[in-house]
Amino acid sequence: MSAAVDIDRGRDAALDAFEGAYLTRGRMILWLLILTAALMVSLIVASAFGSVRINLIRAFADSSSADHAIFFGARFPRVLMGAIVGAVLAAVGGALQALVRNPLAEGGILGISGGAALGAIIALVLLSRSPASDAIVPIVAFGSALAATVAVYRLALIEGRLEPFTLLLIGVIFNAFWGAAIMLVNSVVNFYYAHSILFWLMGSLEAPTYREVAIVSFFAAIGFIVLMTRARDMNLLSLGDEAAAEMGVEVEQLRRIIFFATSIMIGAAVSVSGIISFVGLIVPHVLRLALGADHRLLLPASLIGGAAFMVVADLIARTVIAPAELPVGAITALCGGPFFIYMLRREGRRPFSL
Amino acid sequence: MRRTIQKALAATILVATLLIETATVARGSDRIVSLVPSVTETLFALGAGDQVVGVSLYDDYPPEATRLPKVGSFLTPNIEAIAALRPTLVIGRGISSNQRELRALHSMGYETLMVNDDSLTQIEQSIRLIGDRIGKHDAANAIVNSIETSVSEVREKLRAFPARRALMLVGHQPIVAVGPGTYLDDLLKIAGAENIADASAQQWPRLSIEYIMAMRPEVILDGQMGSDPHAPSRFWQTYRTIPAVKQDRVIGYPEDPTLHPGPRVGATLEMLAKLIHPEAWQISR
Repeated sequence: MSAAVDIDRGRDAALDAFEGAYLTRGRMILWLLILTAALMVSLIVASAFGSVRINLIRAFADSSSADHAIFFGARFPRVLMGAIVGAVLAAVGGALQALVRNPLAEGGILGISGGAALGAIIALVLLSRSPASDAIVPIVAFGSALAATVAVYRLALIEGRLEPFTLLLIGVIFNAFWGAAIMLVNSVVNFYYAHSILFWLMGSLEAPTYREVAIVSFFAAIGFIVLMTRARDMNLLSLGDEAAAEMGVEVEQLRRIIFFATSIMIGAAVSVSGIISFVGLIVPHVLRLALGADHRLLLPASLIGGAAFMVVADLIARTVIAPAELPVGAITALCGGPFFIYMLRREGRRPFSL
Repeated sequence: MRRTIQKALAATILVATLLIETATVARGSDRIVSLVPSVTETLFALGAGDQVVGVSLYDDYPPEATRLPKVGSFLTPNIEAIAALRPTLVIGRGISSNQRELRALHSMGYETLMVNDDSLTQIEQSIRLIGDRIGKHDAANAIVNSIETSVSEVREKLRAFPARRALMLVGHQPIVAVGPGTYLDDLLKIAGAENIADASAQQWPRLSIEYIMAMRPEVILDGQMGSDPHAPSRFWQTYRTIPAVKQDRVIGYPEDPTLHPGPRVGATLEMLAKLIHPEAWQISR
């Protein structure tokens, strides 16, 4: 009993030293407020503009107007969905980078999104685009994400231990495999499916319902709460497995918890939006460079920052070639790549610090 | 030694050439590989179905065509499979065909013919082009005339009816519409529709649901709903302010023949016209 107390005490002392160097309550609140303000601005701007011009005053004042229907029926649920999907992708990226102690980790790279996309595409083809596919395809996508998660997890488990490096490699291999399987499906089915397949590969936020927004938010909230309760342990994990274990972290258990919490979040997001790349990579990295690597700040900051980033990216996707739109996944990758490289080059000395 | 090999080689080539020629002569006609479903359909409609020796992966009409050897498609033609069929003519699609593979076929000495289908006129030209090449000039004329008859009949029928704001979708996940510069856009106009996707610069634009709500189409033709014209879709029920949804005028259409820019395009036109203006047919009855 007293030994346990001693470990806790040692752990708290180590954490205090860690925190002293990087984080104070005031600084944390300040940054989260700044990011929340940025998110609010992006939400307002994204709600104000779209592929058609609407009268916002009438939209709020007259519930029978077309402006009201367009704003509340189409634009606002989409902006909300963008915020939630972006939040999930960025928070999951931040957590997975701690989990595998590798800066390249994100939901996509662990093969989870690819599995979801493959499941969705197969369901779409088998249901031959019948009306029932609207309801079934997202459920199959979510189920496939979880199945892919279990498969990746089981294969990465070596002698009961979840090895970060193995996990990353298995994920990369799974991704290549899913990609090949999707291309295979694409080449044997009728080309009327080409657009639907591209939808899952490039990602899109078009036409979500409030119900979908609520379901994704529910899974995102559960996953995120679990991640936040482990934020301190993630900090210790960055010191190395042994150091973390010495400070009382159940390393294996922690990895498992992070892995499954992130899988549920990613599965829910992918089931409605397809694969949207780069958000999980760029947002946590930029924030880590700016705010430091303490996960108690980094995770909520990624959540809010990811939401803001995605809302802006989707605003661009919706408006540049209106009335047609672009896949938002293409926008995130196009904006994200160069910006990411700029941040890394500017930082120079410690490009991949975790 | 060398002379013997040369002789043997010459003899082999001679025999092979003779065999190929007899085979060709025996059929008395072309050996045609079609890389496009609508081209296969055209060939069968022209009465040249027995000359078709290879078809694309996507061919589904007429039923006889589905039993022929598959040689890939206009996107991914399989050169070896095509060469194995010893064709005298390979017909592909002008714009989206795989140019590298077609160049390869050309350099191997196979005659290639490219046709287009981005407008009703191009479809008719393609039918004529194919008919002229394979000596079925009159049959081609007859098909084109029957298409033109459908066009004038539909025009006549709809003369008294104002155009309806309409939207034709390949599917709603994602929302991909029939845009300007496609044969379906031509058909929609003839069928008495004002295509709200014409504001886009693309042939197959991905439209936003916002835009559709703002443009208030009176009819939505949604390919994702399949061949049952009145399959209910939960997707559309979310957007009840769209007149087409409110008035239950969101209608499915069959992929075949709608998405086949071939000789049945006249039938497609009549089907679209009946879906967009059912009242024009009820009144005359």
